[in-house]
Amino acid sequence: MTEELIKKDEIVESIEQKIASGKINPHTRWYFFVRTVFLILATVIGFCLAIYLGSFIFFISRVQQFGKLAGFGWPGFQKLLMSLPWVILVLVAVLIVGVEKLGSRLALVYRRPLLYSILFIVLVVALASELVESTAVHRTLLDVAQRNHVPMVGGIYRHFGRGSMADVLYAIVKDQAQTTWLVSTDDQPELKIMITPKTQFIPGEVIQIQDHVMILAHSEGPRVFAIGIRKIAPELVPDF
Amino acid sequence: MAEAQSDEELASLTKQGHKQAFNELVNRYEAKILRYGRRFLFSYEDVRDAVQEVFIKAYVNIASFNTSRSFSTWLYRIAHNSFINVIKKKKREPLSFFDFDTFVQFAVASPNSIEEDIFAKEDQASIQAALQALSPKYREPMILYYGEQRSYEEIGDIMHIPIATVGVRLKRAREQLQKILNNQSVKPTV
Repeated sequence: MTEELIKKDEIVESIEQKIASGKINPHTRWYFFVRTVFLILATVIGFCLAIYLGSFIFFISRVQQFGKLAGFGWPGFQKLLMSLPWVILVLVAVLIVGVEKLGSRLALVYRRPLLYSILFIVLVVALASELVESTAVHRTLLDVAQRNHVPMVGGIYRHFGRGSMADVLYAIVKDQAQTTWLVSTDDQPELKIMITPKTQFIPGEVIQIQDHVMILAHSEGPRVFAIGIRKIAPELVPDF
Repeated sequence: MAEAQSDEELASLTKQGHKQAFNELVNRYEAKILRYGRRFLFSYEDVRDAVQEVFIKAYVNIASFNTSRSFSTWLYRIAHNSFINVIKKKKREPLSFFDFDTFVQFAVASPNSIEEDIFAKEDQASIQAALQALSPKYREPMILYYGEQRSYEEIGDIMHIPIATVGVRLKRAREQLQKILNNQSVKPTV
């Protein structure tokens, strides 16, 4: 027995000594239980935050009519790219990667290609976001934010609210002449819009007085030129 | 401690506070983990410290081991993490944060189609030297598959990568190894 001990590798001996002396002790089951709970909580919070922010992106896309901007050709597409809430989009992407990283401790996740896990999370976040967006959550928060009753998120809602997209006007047509239209917006009851041969319209769309329109415009001094004009349904006009 | 007891039974006894059971596990795996460490961390000085760290981590975290699973895979996973930490600390070899190999689905090369054991056939010194020229992500599956006789599934569980990625890495590692050995004028059997 003594001879066997002498022959023992110094690694084995060192470990045995440390264990026997009580210098190292195993973590308790509670330690791992609490750690697991924290991991699950972090994953759930990450998921929920990604869904909330995702639904917020859908919400502002709907109220700001991002989709309709694309109808104005290249200028509209450029405007769309510039108007997207990139900071929130990046935050959602970071949360998705974070959730995947937390989940990758599970064999169910790491045994599959990263692309599959990411796509699955993106799909779940997108579907859940769409579901949340269809509820009155954001509309209610926006209403409260407008009355300055929400200390933190209120600022974000106001920031992305109506008028936040520079050069995009939501208006009602009041009068139409060859080169000038008179429209009314929330801020200005009477605003002259210059129509030029370059102004883009949706082919076949007839815009009449009292129609609700979205105008992609640019200002030159006091004059406002229309890059593109298209009709939007009255119920789609953002009321904020 | 009876030899007949399985690793998992010994781990279970360790969980209940039997220190001798863990000593038996150390005795069973010390040589294997040291061999794995020496091959993976060939050019690093502190392999013995890293191996010691592996067993200490295993003992400290034994309560998290699920006795219905393989103890050896769990221990090799701890060893993998410890050895990767050594490489990270030394900053001698680059370890990428993102790896495209794990991103998409590859067809799994059958383990049976893998050529004969080059570790057995080739001159150990030249194989070892050639392995060091491989990046850690290719070197490690080679060592685990050929050196430690781990299955694709076990390597996937140790490295936390898809099984198909294990196949891809082994294939690329063998190709790279062959080039290196050819340059050294040593004809490999692969």
